Amino acid sequence: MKTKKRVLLAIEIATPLIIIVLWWAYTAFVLPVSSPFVTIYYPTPVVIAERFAEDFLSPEILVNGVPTLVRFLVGYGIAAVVGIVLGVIIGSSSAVRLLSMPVITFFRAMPAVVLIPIVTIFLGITDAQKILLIALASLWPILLNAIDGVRSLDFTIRESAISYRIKGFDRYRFVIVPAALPQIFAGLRAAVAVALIVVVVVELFGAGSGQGIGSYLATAKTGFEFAKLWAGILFLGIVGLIFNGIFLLVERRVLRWHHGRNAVEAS
Amino acid sequence: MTMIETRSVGLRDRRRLTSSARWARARKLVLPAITVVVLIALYQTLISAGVIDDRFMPGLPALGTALGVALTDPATYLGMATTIGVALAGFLAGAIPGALIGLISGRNAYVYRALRFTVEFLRPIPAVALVPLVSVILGPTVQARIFLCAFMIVWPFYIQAVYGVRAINPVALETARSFGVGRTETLFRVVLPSASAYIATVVRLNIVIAVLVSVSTEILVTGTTGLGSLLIEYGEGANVPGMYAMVVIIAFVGMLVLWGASALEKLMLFWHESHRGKEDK
Repeated sequence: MKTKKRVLLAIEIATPLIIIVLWWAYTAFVLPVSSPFVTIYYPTPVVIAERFAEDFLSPEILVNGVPTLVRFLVGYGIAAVVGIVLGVIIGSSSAVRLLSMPVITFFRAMPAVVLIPIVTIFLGITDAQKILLIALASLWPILLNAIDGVRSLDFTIRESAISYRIKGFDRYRFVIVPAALPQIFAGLRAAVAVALIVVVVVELFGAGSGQGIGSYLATAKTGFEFAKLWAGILFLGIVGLIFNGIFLLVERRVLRWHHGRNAVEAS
Repeated sequence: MTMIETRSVGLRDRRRLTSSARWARARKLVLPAITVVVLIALYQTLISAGVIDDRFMPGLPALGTALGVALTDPATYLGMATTIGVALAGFLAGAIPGALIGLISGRNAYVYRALRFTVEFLRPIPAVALVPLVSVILGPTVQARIFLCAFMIVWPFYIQAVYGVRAINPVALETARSFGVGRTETLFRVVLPSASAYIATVVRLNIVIAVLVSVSTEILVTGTTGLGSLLIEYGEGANVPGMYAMVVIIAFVGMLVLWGASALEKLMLFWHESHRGKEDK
């Protein structure tokens, strides 16, 4: 059993390294010979890493990366607060749910990026425009999951709360919101994927001016600097990895009490 | 006997539909209708009163005309076909391999551990970050766009399939083994059906994401066709009512796609407990 564990660990560490070495060997030796015209598109991992260190592991990150992260966090944060509050309100009342239904049906299926040109008419290419669009896009998964979570409140819990005369704010604070939390987290997680797409699209749209990963990629494209294009992708991968890690930690902490729920229910 | 009794009681109850019960049914139509009417009235009032400049936001007549123009333009329908076609092709190109490799990975610890880091690293990369690179290498082609959609879809399906396999009732697997069912057959007759419940739960969200990526590529890459490209074209022609009309059309297409995805999910899961005897959702 112990040897199996060791073998598994070895495989887990070795495979990514092997992939990188093969990738390096292919881009450094095979590609220049087999199809020399495309080598410019595929720099070696070493070149990409150097580029990455220069542009993102230096004060340059304040121009290339940080503005994107700030916009993302602000937009996503607004959507999380608005989405959860509205979701709890809408989920608790069938009248409000019916009243809001047309709006939700209209926006939930709309790919948020189509609002980019419209919002740009009003706000121009500004931080406000980007943050508004990120918030608009991530709102719907959060809102819909919060509504669902509140609605699927267990019958016994609901009845117990009534028996114990838990009313008003306490009912939300101690009964409804905790019961809906697993589903709310499912929504928050789904919204991260959507928000990451939109933050990049909105920065790429009419880029050139402004800072952030979008304009970094756009300038790299017009300058045919392919190492930069790869380094930018690498940066987003690392950001996503860190973000997912933090998310998992918070979720584990907040939902510690919540056991044995399966993914079919949770998503 | 008891069945007949309950049934007759039910019939009598239905005949005694009180006015409050009738209202309960009617409000499902009336309340949403109120919102629609109020919002449309508010929209027009804001523009008529000059609170919002109608160069930025067209009034209802202008929007209606633009919708008429867009809906009689064959380019709109070609755009719809391309946008949805790319999204669906990309969805399938991502979902099928993702789920299949996920099934194998869920069954085999070696495969799982070998892929784990690579998947965890590639998964959070938003596919649109690849747009500048891919649009140079492959050009503004349909293949490039399908690749980008698939890149976004493959990971959630992989992961969901892994979870799905892990949640299989061990009795089912043991039973298959006792009956001497082979590895491949077990995969398709036990593992796949059990895991499909898990996999189906991510279908709806990911179809929406595929459409999002499809439209994003249209907006970002010049030379593509699709509803997003038409939107940008109208924008470049300073045709503001046309842009709004296109947004409305895209919203309706999105609804249609979502509705289709829900139907597909129901079809895949009609036997599952989460979908039995549930009308809402």
